[in-house]
Amino acid sequence: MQELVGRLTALDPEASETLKVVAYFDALVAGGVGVQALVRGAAVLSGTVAGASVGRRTHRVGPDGDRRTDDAATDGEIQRHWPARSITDGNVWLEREGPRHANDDMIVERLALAVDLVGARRPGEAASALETAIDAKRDAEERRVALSRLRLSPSRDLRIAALPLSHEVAVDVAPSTVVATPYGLLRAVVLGADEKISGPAGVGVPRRADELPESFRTAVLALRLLPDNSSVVDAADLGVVLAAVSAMEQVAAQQPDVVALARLDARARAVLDELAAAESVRAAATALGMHHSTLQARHEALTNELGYDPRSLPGRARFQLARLLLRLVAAP
Amino acid sequence: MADTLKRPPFDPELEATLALLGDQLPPSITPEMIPLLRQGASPFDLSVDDVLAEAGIARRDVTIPGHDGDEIQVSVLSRQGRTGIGPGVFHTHGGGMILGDRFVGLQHFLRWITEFDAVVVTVEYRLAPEFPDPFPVRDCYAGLVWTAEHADELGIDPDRLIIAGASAGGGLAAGTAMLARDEGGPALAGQVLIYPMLDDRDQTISTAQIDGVGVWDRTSNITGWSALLGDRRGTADVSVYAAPARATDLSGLPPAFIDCGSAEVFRDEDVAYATALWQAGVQAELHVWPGGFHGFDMMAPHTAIAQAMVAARDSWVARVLGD
Repeated sequence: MQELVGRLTALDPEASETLKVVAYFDALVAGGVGVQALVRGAAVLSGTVAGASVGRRTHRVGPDGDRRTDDAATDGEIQRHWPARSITDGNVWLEREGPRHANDDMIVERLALAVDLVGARRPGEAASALETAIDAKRDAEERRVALSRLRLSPSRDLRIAALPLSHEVAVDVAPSTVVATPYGLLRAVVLGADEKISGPAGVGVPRRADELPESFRTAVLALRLLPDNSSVVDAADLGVVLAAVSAMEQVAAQQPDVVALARLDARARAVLDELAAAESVRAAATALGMHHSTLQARHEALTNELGYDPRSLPGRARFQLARLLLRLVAAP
Repeated sequence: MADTLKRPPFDPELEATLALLGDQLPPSITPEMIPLLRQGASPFDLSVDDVLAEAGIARRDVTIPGHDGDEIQVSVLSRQGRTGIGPGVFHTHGGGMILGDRFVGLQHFLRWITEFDAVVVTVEYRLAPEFPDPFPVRDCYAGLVWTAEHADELGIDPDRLIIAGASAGGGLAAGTAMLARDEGGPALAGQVLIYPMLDDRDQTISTAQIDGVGVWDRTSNITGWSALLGDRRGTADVSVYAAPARATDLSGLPPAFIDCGSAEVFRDEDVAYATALWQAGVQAELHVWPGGFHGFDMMAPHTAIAQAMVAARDSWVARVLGD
């Protein structure tokens, strides 16, 4: 059956395909589907019957997308050997008999997350209100209503932190929600003006609660500028640099300074980071564990390659901006 | 991309499917990609004979005279052990006029064999650009004439013979039905035009909207039509049998079933064809599935919208075949 296009079928039972699982559920959540479509997704990707019980409703779907009602192996009872997870108001599972496939755990994890998200989106839930409060596409009145549901005063100064989903936070401390963005699903958390958060996180600029979309926008930008997987970037610390980065995002990939940095390997960029940041070349050499004269030579070579000295005053500004833009371009 | 018009969004389940399969096939197919696409079997392929055996379907290959009497092949497919006379389907496969073989689209008509007891004759018409217009549509017409002439031995009731095809095969089915009308060919009880490729002129809103996105975009479509028509594409020198959208007289054609997605190149020409059929007094059923890209029922058969599409189509076929 040579098709012009492929057909979506179960993932490879042997090979881990995490990115595909994430991409599939992210697209469903971003599209605002219901639980049935999520379970259908789990079934087609796993190639076996998938199920979810949410409250008093049970959904079971076969890999062909058909709803299963009759041949229930149990009366909603999850077999101990099945891949399963508990969710806010129930469970999700795959009715896998025999050995587990490579992606079963990931599929169940993303299904659980997505079913919870869909549940949280129901009007009246706190997560749904926060999603509205940080959404630039909602009008001011809608956002004010959402704030009152969150018991937040519109005039209070707040910040939004954007976190990767993998970063578990104590969600009962502050209002939080998961939002679909062009950069995948992110968790948005409300932070007071002086509250701290551990990395990885991007923290948005402080804004009145009725202007939270701008804080969320800068938080996402800050998250994308993270130098590594454990740090925190605070948009407020970047000031005009953040505005410059934001304005240049569309053309960043064509900037010669960005292209020049992209051509270097990770080690060379680490050397440049240290050269630009350190008090002296000697201090940079110590930090990098290199001999002073070796770094000196490397500094000259890199200056030649870039066409500017990252330790000179104008060179530092040039390097910092290009370095930040490269992170935006390089991020998936 | 900058000039692309705003288009209807894809259905979320279809968007998710594209996110996974998008890298298998780029939206835009250009002429130099044709040889490579013909070689590469999709990684999801099952062999045809395995699929047929599993469904309990017997296959018989027959060599018949095609356009100008050249030899072409058809496959006759029917339920194993079927006897007597029943409905028949003449099938013209899809693939943009440039790709595929007579088993592309098997999943469209498999149930018509197993559930409606139809005999399907599917034709290996010759592909462009090696065999440009009129080879494809004339090979299809020759296959239809052969099927009607052999209806008795094939177990087909001539009053219950329909033509069906998807994509380029839908355009060929429409063109073949028109040839049958104009040249005194076999009477058809219906034409199933599944997201048919009907118009070479590249002037609809939907072709401008689906440019660099989805499946079978504007560039791919121009590639297909240019292979079929060469320099004649978009000129006055194109027959209604090659591009049925150009026909001004649709009277006397068989009842039609037409479906498509709202986010595909063929949307506007398919809707226009249904409208033109109604205006000519021909019965037609039209479905435009919201957020559907081209061929979504084949690429994402598990989705709610694909199942609704297939159910609506099969329901029409069941009614026309008198099942």
